[in-house]
Amino acid sequence: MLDLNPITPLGATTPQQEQYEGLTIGEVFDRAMVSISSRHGRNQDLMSRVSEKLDLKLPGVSEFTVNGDFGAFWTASDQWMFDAPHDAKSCLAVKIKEIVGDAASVTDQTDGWCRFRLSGPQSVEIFQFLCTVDVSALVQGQVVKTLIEHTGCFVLCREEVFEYEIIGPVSVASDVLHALQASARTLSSVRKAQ
Amino acid sequence: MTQLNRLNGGLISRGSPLNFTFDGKEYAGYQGDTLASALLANGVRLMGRSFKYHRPRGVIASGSEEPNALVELRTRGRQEPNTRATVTELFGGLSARSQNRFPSLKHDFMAINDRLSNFLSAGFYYKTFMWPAPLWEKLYEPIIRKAAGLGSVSLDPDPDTYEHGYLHCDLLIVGSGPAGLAAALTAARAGARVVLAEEDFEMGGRLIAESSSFVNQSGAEWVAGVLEELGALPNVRLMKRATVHGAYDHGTYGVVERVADHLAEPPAGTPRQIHWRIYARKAVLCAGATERPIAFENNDRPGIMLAGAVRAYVNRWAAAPAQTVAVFTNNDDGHRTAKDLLAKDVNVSAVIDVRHDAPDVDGAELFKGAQVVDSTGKLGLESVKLRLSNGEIRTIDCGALAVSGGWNPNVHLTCHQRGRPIWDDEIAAFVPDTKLPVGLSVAGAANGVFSTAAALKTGMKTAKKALLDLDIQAPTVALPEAEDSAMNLKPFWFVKEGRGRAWLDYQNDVTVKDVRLAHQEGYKSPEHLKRYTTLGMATDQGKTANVLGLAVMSEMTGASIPETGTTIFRPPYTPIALGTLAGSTTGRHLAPTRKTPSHVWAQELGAEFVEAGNWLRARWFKKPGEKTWQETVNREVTTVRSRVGLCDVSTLGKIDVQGTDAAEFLNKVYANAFAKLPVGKTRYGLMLREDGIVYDDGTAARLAEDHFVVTTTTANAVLVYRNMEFARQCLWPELDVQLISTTEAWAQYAVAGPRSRDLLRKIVDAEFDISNEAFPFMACGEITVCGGFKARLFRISFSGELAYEIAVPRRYGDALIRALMAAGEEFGVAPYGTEALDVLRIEKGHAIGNELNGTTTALNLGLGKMVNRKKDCIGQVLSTREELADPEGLRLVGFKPVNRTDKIVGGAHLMNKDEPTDIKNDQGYITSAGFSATLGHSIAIGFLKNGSGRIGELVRAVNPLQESEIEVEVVSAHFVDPEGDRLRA
Amino acid sequence: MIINHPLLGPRDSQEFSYLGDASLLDRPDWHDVSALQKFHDYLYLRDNPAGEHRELWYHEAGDRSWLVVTRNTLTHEISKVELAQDVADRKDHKK
Repeated sequence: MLDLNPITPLGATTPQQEQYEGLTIGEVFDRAMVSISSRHGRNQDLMSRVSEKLDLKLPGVSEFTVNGDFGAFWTASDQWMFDAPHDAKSCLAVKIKEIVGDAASVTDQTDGWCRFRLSGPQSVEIFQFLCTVDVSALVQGQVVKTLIEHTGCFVLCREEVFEYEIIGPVSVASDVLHALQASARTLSSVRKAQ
Repeated sequence: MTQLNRLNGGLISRGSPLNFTFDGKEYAGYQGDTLASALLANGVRLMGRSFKYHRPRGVIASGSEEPNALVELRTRGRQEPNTRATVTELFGGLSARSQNRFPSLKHDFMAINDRLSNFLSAGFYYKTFMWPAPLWEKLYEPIIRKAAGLGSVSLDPDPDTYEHGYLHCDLLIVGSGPAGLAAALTAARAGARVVLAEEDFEMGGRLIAESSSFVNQSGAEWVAGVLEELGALPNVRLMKRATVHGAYDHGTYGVVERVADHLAEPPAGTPRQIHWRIYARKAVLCAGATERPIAFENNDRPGIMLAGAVRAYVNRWAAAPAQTVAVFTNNDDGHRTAKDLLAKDVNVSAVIDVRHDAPDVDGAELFKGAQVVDSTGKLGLESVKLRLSNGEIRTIDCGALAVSGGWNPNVHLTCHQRGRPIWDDEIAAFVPDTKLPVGLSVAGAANGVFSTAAALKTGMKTAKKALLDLDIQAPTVALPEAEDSAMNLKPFWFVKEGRGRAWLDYQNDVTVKDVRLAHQEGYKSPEHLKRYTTLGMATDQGKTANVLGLAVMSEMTGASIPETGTTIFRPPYTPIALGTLAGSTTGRHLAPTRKTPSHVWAQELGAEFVEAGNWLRARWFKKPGEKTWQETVNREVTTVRSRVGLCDVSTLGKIDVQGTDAAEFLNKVYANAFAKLPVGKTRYGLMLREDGIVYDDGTAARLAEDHFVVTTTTANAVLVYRNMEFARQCLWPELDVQLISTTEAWAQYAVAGPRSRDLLRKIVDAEFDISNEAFPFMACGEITVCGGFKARLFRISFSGELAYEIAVPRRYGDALIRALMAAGEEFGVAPYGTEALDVLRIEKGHAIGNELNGTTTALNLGLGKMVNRKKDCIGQVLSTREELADPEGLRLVGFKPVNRTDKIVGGAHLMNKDEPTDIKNDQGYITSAGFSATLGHSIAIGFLKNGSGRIGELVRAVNPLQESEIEVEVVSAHFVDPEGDRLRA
Repeated sequence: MIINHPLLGPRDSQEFSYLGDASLLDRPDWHDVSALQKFHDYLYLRDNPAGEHRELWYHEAGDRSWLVVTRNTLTHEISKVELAQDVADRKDHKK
């Protein structure tokens, strides 16, 4: 039987990593994502199912919550994105649907996104060239969605110090990376000039 | 090579000498010089030729308000015209050229214009060169146009990069003079997030240009100390070489930072300039004031300068404008220039003060109640002629004249949002209105308070107040003892001249005479004055001229200056390079490039790509030996019709629609009904705009009772999703339906042709029965492929053949297309691109964007019955409008050329055989045309009046733009397999 | 321009796309005897005030919420921002 080998959003077989002064840009490719939207009048129900079965609090506006390897972030009113390790064999969406039942609509989003982890002391400074949101004012556990390189992208301020994650549409992965690279270069040259 | 006008002292770095050239001649200067200061130090006064009259000109100012000393810097792709020498930081190897002269600055042929000035006054091109009329377009206008313009641009591509940046702060301070620095200290010590932006390459404003700002220290000393403190604070961002060019809505400011203008070349990876958008909760404008001259006959010779600028050159740049300098003033400020010149041992030949009660001068001859009435000197000032208070005429020798007419607060940013400044009689100048852009306040000279002490105090107070509004308590800052002198200005704008011309706007060559002429011809309001004379319309936006022009007009009309009013200030404050506004969104990066899941594989095959919106799609896949694209496309079409083809259709929009009311919701957004669509079935759908026009078509597949997957066209994916969210949130919020886009998440391929099922049987896992009985036309379902990979299968056909669309999560898209190719080899599979896709669907008469062109209805498309009248949906009501329901209106039909070798041209209009080609006789138009490999000739579809009733008729397809027409036969739009048997096989 | 999103706080207007007058929320009843005229007016007639204007914005690059923004067309001051869904919920619905 033919086997299907996955490729990364950038069209490669392995995720990419790049090093700049005080900043590492690393592609994240091992996560599954599932979007859930609660149905009318089922918010309470949904919250208790998620809390019970996943031991996870459904995040409030602009928040993300984590339980070990499993996380969830707020995306819109009554809508959240679950984020868990990717398993080629099993489908996270199926698992989530089993848990939430008809309290919510469930959609697999795993392959719709490209993800880049930014870490290091310059990881917050780079955003002054990327988006209009004041990322330096974000606290750990906060998430925003804004325009980066003409496209709507999530920016997560992770629990760890100086760790951010950018999640953008998969089809523009090379453009998102290009924006990160150009901004990283500008940042380091501008810092040198000062 | 000696810098004959170089003085002692100054803030230049004598340890860092620099060489530069101007018009091919080499000179020496120092780090810290501007091009203007270095030229002056070298005794060069002639720096340009004026725009219209080509008069010899020199520098008059020391900042960005300079109108005359415009040079061209750099070469090739970095060539920049109209660069002000006064803000050009000197760097080693700088090479500058003067502009607007031929063959040289000293000998300019176009100076003949000066002799013809009577024919070239304001608005001349409306009055002279009018006869004979045809010669205007053929002769006069081209000549005038060629003679006009300042500087030239290179057509070479710009090798530099530019970036955009975004900053947030509590307090933005514009300007780092005494007011700005006091404000910055106050805010910084309060812990507020501060951005201090300074246009100049050194901070300090007038503090580094004046000799006696403080009692106990030099201005430069105090500035250095403050900057050391501010520079060490993490909550402060100091931005030099940064012009705040505009005050935009809601506390947003545009700033241009000149990151590398002062270097010969930007270092690798460094942008040349950055455009910043600063979001400031509060802002204080400490932009200082710009000096204005006094107009008199021949007041434009090289060497005649603004008095405050002369002080800056003497004190900051250690450069005297000439060996002998005179002063002409209407206030005490001019006297400071005389004092500073004398302190540096420069000869001051006279102080000419219009005030009869002028204070005494120590070390130079003072003429009270006197006026300068003329000047002499061909390529530079040699002497000035005075009229004394008793009427006597005197000549004073001087190589420079320092003129002080007063100061105009730099109010510009306060007026960027429809504000107008108000007149302050005491300083005879405009100051900001009390109504200001939100969050903005003003301090120091920008607000009309000119002494150093007042600037410091108001800077601190204004910052404190601004921060208090943000609930930030700011401490009182101890400020040094500073000068607090008054100007004692007597308003005096221009000397009533004789027969010569007195200049107001140096850059556009507008004189007092021109203002008189405007008044005489009825152009009296400032808006008319500006446009008729071009006063204030040059690159300096009249910074040293506007108020003088208003004063002249006001004298003529008899109205006061405030009664006369002003024009509106608009951003940018100083010119911005287009490259900076573009940032990095140029070329390929103007818009995001979206790549399909099979992109890498298609590249390997050497596919030709086309931009479909932001997507790159394969157009065709040329095989070796194929000579033309038509050959390739014909083969791809034939392959699909006779064997099997593969096409990446991932770009089409996909929207996941779920919820207990999902079906009901689809009924609202689609013209046709979906509530009863069975699970496991797909249906074609039409979406209307609320005005009844069709705007998109696609399919909806029902995967479960409460789960649909809706597809849209590639071009409208974003728009349909936006409209669906509007319907969901705003029109029918009571419906329990949830939406999310899944366009990106799936790789989707069309597998089309008689052998498509055979191919898919090798990919789809065995437990899924895809026989015709189990999986008929329009079926859909969730399956697995290649040993357990989840996938979706839809039996829909755009080509009209037996066809499917198979979707897998995008990460497997590359592997799947390769697997399909391998599995299909035995059946003769080939990939096909968008060109073949288009031919196939034209052969079937399927509509796409060409037919859904924003003016056509379901009825026009022959799909009138699809609009279900038993339910409400977007567009249903207005689609019943009389004009749209015309039974003999346009109908979508097919066309074949009568002469089979003719080519039908898309866009051709249709005319009846025996009627002339005329709008009146227009019968419709061709929307899509192409060569049909299946039929062996050109075919087309389009809209024809009453088309469905005219099958078999012959009409003409006319192409007047290319002067051609052919005869076509009206046929059914379904050229191939009209019964649809192949679809259902 | 900055829009103060009721849930997310102030955001640059470039994250949004603009639709038009908030009167688009008052979609007529298709059963109404003068439905044709009412739909026509709903779609084509606008007051176009020089002053306060209620208008619809879509947070396209953000949370995809529709907002009703009360903005002064002369001064650009935004005095109110509401979730369109809340505004729509408060109206009478006709199915």
